[in-house]
Amino acid sequence: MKKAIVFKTLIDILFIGLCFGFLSLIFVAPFGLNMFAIENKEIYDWSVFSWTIHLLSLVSYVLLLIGIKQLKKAAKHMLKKNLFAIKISDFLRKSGKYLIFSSVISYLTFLIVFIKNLTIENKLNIIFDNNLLLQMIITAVGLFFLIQSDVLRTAKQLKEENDLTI
Amino acid sequence: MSIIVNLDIMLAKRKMKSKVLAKAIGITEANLSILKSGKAKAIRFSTLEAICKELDCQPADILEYQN
Repeated sequence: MKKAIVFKTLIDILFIGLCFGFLSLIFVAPFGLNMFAIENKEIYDWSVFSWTIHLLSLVSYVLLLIGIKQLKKAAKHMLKKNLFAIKISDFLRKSGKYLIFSSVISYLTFLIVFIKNLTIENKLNIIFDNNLLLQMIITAVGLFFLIQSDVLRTAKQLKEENDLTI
Repeated sequence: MSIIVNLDIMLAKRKMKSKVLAKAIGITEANLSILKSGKAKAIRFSTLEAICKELDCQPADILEYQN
């Protein structure tokens, strides 16, 4: 049970941190008060391209936030000592989907930047940095949540069958 | 479910109460009630054997398939 409490606390802290991050993305970044990085470059000149990347990042961030929110709900139900509750499975499934959508949009931004560099700036940049690595981890975690949701659902069915075997 | 449990009919025929049967075969009254009401998903052979032994009947007297 202690593990569940620690998990819930960590998710709560992560959610609050992400909320602050979201506020800074909306209010601070576009006005140049903060450096907004695309491919680790500081952006001061907000062209249409920069805005597109910024908006896509924003959508990706919101999806990540919703995914963590769903995980927060799942963690809340885990504290009720009923690990086989169907709601946990549902929240994990939703969380997994949102995390995957979020990372897919991030991949899209990487792809746009890559194509822009290739076509407009005639530069071929193949970068495998922490940003890409993080997105790959988020995709893997999202997929794991989807699998875990299915496993929980099957486990619940088996438990029910076992409980109703006389 | 297409499998019907006729345990209550057999109990009536043998004039035996659920409580007595439950005690004789070593299951709780709650579980026997689940079995009688048809909510059970499965029945162990050992339970079926104990019921048949106690009620002196065949499995077919307790379980019935209906289309």
